[in-house]
Amino acid sequence: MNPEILIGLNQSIGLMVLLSTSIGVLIGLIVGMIPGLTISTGIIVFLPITFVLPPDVSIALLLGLYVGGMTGGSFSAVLLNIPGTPSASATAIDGYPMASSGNAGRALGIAITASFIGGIVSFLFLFLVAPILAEFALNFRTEDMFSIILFGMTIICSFSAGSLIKGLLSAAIGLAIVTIGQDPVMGTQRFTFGEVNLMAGVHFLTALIGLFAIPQLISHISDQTKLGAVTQSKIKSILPNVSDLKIVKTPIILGSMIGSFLGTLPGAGGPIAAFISYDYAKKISKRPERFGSGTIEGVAAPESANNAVTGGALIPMMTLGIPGDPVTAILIGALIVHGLAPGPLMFLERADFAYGVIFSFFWANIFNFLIALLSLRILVKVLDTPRSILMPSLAVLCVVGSFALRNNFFDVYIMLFFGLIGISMKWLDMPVVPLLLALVLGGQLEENLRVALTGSQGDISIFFTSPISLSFIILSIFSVVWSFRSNRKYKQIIN
Amino acid sequence: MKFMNHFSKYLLSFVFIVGATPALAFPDKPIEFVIPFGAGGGADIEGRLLAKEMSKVLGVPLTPVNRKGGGGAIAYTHTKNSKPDGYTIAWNSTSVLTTTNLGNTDFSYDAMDHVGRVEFQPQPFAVKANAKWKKFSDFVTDCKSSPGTLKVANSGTGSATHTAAIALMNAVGCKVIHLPKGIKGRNKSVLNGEADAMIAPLTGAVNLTKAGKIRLLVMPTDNRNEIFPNVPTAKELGYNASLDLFRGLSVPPNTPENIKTILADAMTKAANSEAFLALAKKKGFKVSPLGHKDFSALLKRENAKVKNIFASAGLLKSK
Amino acid sequence: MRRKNIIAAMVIIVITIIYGLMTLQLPTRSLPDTPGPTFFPWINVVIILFLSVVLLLSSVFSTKNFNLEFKQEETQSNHNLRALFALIGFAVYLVTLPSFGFLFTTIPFFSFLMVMFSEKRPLYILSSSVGLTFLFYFVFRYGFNIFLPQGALHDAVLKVIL
Repeated sequence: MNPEILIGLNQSIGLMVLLSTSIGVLIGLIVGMIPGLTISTGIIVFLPITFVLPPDVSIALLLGLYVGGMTGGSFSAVLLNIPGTPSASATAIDGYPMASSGNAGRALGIAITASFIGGIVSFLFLFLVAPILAEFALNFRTEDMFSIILFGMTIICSFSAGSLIKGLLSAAIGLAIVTIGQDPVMGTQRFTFGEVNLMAGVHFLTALIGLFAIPQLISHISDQTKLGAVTQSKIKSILPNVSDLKIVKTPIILGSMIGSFLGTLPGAGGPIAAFISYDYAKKISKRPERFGSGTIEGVAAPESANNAVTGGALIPMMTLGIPGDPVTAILIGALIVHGLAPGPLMFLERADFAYGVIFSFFWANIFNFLIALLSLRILVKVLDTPRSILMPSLAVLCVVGSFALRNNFFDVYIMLFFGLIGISMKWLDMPVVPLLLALVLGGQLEENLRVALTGSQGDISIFFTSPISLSFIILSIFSVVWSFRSNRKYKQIIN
Repeated sequence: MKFMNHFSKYLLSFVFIVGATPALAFPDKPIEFVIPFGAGGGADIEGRLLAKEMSKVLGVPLTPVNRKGGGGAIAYTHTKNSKPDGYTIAWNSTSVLTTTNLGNTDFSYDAMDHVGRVEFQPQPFAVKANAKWKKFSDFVTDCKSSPGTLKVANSGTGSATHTAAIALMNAVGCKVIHLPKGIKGRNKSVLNGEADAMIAPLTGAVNLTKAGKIRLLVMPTDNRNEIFPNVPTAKELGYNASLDLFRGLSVPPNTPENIKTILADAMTKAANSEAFLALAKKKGFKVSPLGHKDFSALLKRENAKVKNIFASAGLLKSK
Repeated sequence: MRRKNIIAAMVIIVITIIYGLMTLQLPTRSLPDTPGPTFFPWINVVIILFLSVVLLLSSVFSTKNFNLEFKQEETQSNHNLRALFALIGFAVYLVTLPSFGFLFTTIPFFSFLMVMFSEKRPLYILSSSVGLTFLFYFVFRYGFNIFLPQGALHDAVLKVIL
């Protein structure tokens, strides 16, 4: 066995690492549970604070948050019929009817178990596939990287909600924002307005805190509908019994595989995987007519899928440096801040760290299972925490986070400015996720484009003569055209 | 972690901060330690350890802050504009000469005061382990027979590695394509064959060389390196090219002499600390502290060299 | 939606034209046969202009009736006013923070936001905002080494207390 695997395993079981994994899981469960706070927001807000920690500890915390968030989302979906995160939407379909009929504990137990199995299956997938893919990805050249990043961005646009044009526009604006500061190849100052604080560019996290957290904060202020009282639905026994497990066995395994696979595709992400898994579970079920009225399979299938997405999404992130979903996009940024740019080279130069991350993901799933099962009754009380405490705390975290990134108060103003942009984009129904991706990947896109053209001495054909680059360019075009066509179809249905 | 370990210390320091009296002696508060490059790179790892060791000597925390961008321009501009009270120090490198001569800043290296040098390392010329070039002369022969086709990767346009690559190729009389692949992309491009060779700081190449993935052909430096004594220097091969990557400390201009002396002493002690020497041994850089005077002379010499190299490539103040 | 799209497209076009004009003024510094620093901004200008013109045209010629949406927005305005108020409060907070310090600005800001979230018990507001602000301050400063701005007032007040 590769000795680095053992070093990685060792790294992941350091006391600090395990501790921060479990803290991350706890934060994730809470953040995921609160409707209107997405996992992305949770990670974005907590990320700057973790930068003082060593990279392995910091990443472990974020992975815990990611995994915990996926599970936490299902709690509010089951108990309140409001998914805590978009990925838990499908869970509410059968989870809430179960809770209404007094089976909340049973539904949550199944959800937690399904999440656990989904996570572990995707861990195995990650552990086995990532090193192989990384080895292959070592062959990717500058021009190939350009096309892969381009593909990652177009496919996010075509999957994002709303119109394709607005998605692409959002991405293009992100690319323009990235050009503020020093250019990535020669260091020329661009669009800094002579402002020293803009010389290093807009930090992607500063922008993301503004774009994600501020609009959520504001929308909570303008929409203060009360959540239903949670404590009314009594949670009885949580541990699922054997007969239940027998019923959900197949949907869980199927869902885990669907999630792991869809997670690897950039852009698909949790919500889509959960719905597809739900559909499949319904198709193979002997009693499909009961789906929607509170079946345990209907809870198990989406929950296993959305947690399996996490491991899947880590694969392109760790091996190519291309995110599988918004959360992994943020994780890439986090790793870059730590000087550990994810990519094929990570498995070669810092294989110990790469395996450390993979094993931390494993522990995150274990902790998630244990913490969720043991402290479920206490955790759901968070849903009763008044928003008048939660939201001001979020606002303070935004300020501290954007300041702590570079110890620069100017960044806090930038954060608020992006908050205004985020609010406007929400008002205009423009998806923010393409902009997020552009902020994370835009610099690399420009750098790879220009370096590739430097290598070819200005010859553009380089992007079409390399087979890898060519296939990803074709895929990018295909994803845009496909989205455009499906959009038109969708409009026809509405009309 | 820190919270647990130092809880009692924090309680004490809280009392201390609250009752803080006006400055008596330097230093009496945390010092900002500006690192001109991103976290996790060589400059960062080495800088953070030095800062930690210096904290022990000075008795106040040195807080490392990464101000990356523009090949160091951001960090140096920040340092130059800071108060000359010794509470802002920059972890400089050869970049203080390259980024200023490239025109990324509107001042030259002597706009700051320099405390001293801590360490230096050669910047070897490397090819993939299974490349056909066994010796540097093989590469030169190929390069001369087909000028302008071989690609040499570096850490970025106008970086120290790029500068060394230009110097070496000028001395040899070769025309190559310089690929600014960046610190991360540089090694990968050699491994996958996109670039034919690269110039890397020794610390960035040491692991791959030991793992047998790349081969060092020549080092444009003055003396052979202790870790790879088999690799010839450019001088031995008859080429007049030498540019090391040095690192040291800079402070804002007009910093009082006594503060610089305190910092220089702490720097030397930290550089010779057990932990820092151990890192040097592992990573391949040479700890060799120089005081203010010797360092200034070195900077002057190297600056003239960098200017000449940039002028030859059309990079001088190209902005 | 149609009206919003038209506004969005026009605003974006104006900003992009400014962006393009600024790109014109950038130094065209480049090595032979390589794209320079203005290369990528130009690509952005072209893409954004193209997309926003498409958005503009498709919205102008869209057949959808927009009177209906407009009415729905009216009822929202009361809540939007509250949101606007919160944003202004946020801005005031950020402007005063560097000079007055974290502790002395965060406590009133926290209380203000709590009021914005329809909290009415004064003692509860006071205790939560003071308690949480101090908690944040100490966790960040001593747990995470984040030195939040203290402001001139901070030292003076603490000296008086002790």
